[in-house]
Amino acid sequence: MLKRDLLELCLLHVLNQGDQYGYELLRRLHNVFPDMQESAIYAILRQLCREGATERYQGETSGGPARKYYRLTREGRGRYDALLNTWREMRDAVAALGIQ
Amino acid sequence: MRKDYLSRLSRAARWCLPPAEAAEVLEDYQDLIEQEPRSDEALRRDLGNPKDAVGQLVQVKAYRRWLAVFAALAVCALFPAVGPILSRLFWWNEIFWFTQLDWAYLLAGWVLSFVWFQRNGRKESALPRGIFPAMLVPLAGMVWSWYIALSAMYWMTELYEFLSKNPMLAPNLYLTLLCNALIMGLAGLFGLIRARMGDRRWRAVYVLGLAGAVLTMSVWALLSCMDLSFSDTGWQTPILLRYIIITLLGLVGTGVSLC
Repeated sequence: MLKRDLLELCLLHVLNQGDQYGYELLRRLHNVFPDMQESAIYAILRQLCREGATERYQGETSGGPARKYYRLTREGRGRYDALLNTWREMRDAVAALGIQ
Repeated sequence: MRKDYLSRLSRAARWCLPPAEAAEVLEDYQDLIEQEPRSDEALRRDLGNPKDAVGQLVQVKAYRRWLAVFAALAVCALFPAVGPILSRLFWWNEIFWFTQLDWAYLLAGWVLSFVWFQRNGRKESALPRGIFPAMLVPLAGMVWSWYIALSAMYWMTELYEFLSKNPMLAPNLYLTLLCNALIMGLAGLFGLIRARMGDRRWRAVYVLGLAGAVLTMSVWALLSCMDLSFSDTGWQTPILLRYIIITLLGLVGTGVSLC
């Protein structure tokens, strides 16, 4: 599992908890991975959108400018489950070697 | 500074990404930047250089396809000026074969630009600002080429006599024609870039520049040609017809592009 896959998993995980405002989603991931530029995280999010794993929609506003939200699609949920399984297998394999 | 970052990002996105995607990306970045005002330095640190930020979003296949189309369209517009120069440098005795391909440049550029921008272009509600002044450049060039062509066709004997008495005039006339073709080709290129980065109706400038460059190349070929059949009566008709069709294709293409 590459770092890119790990970031993808994290993005899908956050979206699995509920729809997210684009800016907040990027900031949240950037705070967890401070060495990753927001543009790189955004590129992964766009790729997920292109592949149909996530989708973008305009949220409701109360006076202010319209906000763009991201949500998980059915394909995205399938991808999230697959990545989560890969991650668990990898974590167990590493733990079996005694690496904590 | 923030505006500077966004304008650089906008230029890179509009060039590298398909129009709909570029618009979405720019909306997202604008949102991102407005939510948390940062200095230019902080923006570059957090978001990366605008070119690199867009570079991460590029779909290589689609971008390469655009570059190939751009290269083909640029060749169609610039070859009418570059071809004669190359012929003087490399194919001294075979200067006319490529001028016979004027239809090929014109039709290839015409059709390809229409198909591409119809499918991949963006159209705004209002006409793009500055498009009409930009169209004046190739239009003026076409008028000048027509003037030279008509002078050459109807006063051919007098023209040759005049040129033989003023030996410096002929090379200068050829040079001016080539410069005219080059300026129109460059105007066409400008229209092409604007059509990609903004409103697709800028292709009107490309089509007009292309037709102007091809027309000028044909006039250059007429003046450089040593065909003795020019002494027959009525030799001008087929040439005139050819020029009229080239001009009409340019004008009709311009009109259609503006719709």
